[in-house]
Amino acid sequence: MKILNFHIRGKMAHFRRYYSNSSALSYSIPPRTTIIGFIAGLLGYERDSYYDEFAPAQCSVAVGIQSPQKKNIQTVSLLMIKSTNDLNGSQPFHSQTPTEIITPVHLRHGFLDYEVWFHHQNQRIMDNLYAQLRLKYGYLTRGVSAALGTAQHVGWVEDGKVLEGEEEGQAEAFIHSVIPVSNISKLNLVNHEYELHLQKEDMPIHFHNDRTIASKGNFMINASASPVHATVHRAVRLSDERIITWMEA
Amino acid sequence: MIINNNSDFLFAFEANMSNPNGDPDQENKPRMDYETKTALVSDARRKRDCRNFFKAKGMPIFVDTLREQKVTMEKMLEHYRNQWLTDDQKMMALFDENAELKELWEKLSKKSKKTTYLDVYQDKDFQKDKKEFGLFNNLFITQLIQKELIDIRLFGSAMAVDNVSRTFTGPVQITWGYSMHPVDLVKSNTISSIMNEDNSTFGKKHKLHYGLFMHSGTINKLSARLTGMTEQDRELFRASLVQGMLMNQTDSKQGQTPLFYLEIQYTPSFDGFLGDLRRFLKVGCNEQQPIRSFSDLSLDDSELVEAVQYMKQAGYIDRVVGWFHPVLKVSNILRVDIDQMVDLWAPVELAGIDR
Repeated sequence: MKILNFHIRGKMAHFRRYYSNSSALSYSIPPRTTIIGFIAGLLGYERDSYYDEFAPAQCSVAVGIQSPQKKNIQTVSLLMIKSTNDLNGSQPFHSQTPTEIITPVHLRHGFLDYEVWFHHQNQRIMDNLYAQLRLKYGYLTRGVSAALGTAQHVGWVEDGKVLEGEEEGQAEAFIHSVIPVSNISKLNLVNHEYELHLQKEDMPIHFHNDRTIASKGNFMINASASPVHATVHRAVRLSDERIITWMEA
Repeated sequence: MIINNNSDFLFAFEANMSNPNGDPDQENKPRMDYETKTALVSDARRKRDCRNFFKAKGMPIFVDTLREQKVTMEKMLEHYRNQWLTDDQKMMALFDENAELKELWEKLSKKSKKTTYLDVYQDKDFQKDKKEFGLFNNLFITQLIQKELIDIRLFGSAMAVDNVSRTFTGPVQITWGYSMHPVDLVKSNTISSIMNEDNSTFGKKHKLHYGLFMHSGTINKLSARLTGMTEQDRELFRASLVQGMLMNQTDSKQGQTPLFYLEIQYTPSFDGFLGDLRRFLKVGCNEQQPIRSFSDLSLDDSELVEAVQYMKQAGYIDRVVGWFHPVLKVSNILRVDIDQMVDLWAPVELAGIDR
């Protein structure tokens, strides 16, 4: 199958955890819902209009961290919103909200780098997206600007290319994407060749049309930005010889 | 005229013995990434400067008070609605521009015997068909907000009319800024005191010795269509970045000086962006020496020159717009070709801006 491969890059990111309220915590990677939102945004879909067309039955997404990153908490002073009537800041006080921001380990010299693999059954969507991503510098968009999680974390897209991928059953290999915990049969971590900083995060996979959660799953992430040796039930072997796993329940 | 092309922009300022953005969780110390000694400034700080500038110039803004009073959004919208409904010329011009709105008004007003716009609007008969009236109201108020409130046209907002909430993504997006080099906090904290008759309060002020900060940002033509951001709004935005900062001479913000503003304007047919421009700039310094002024830094924009040249040759860039601090000689350091220089120190007329 054809797989689109590209990098979402930026200086800062915030992927809001859906259950945070008085504090704004962030996932370490863009969840599947964020990535389909990003792609739909570039293709010119309106907010909340694309969930059916980008459902797990129609399209598969994988993501990997390609540059070391860290989290930094900044308390930001937001408007206190108790009802829609307060959207103009009519409440007497502001809300001090601790906000987790993801930055490169070295903010000034580095950048965040999320490598994305994307397959959609609809070849037209694949062609349209590829057309947006094949510039030498920058990217094209029919809608919003590329941003990492929230609109002000302006980023960019680079290195768009088309790969061939072949789905495999049981595989024992270095996996270059985050791995759904349900897909892991064994982690082979003794004498591991690369640095490991493993963490598990529970993330949404898809939304209903009203933006409530349709499915979620646990994912194993290596925050030190290198592949993890694991035995998995299902994998995808890419034409560049790397192996990834889709984000699925 | 609504803007019809995308832009990426870069705004640089220096902060001398200043606190560009305090962290409320840490005694208002400058926001920092302590591991890399990099100071941070939120996007909200920049937008607040812009809003304060617009307000000082007499332009109504959404995140604001009404006659010095905090009022709910409903009250604020009612104020603008009534202002429009009592101005026949404004209403006629609005209907001329918006056929759908005019059609709905004519349909609903047939049922009313009243004559003035305001009386008709407030008539029970006009509001009888809840669905059609709701539709009219939604369109009407969205139009009013866009026409009246420059901060919504630039930065967008979540809004709710008749409890229908809508989110307008702002065409102008500004990133968090950061210092392009390691910074030092002033070791001795100034002690401020508030003297009252029978007691006094002591507090600390935290400042940075020196920081060169940059924010990057985008202006998106498609989002501009939705919020109604015009060419004139773009000019006001640039001026507000520079003059809003200069205007803010509080104890913590004095010492902030805008240094330059670059805007890469793409051709109307180009539907893309380069994205965060700071990745194309290299700021060098001797990390063993204290950094206390712009002259302790070097700035290399050769990667930006290369990217701009490529994009120009491909026909994607219409022009590069630039502003440099007229006295500090920063323009000599950047090599990127500027096609149009603008004067962002030029006075902006007070209020009553004709749009």
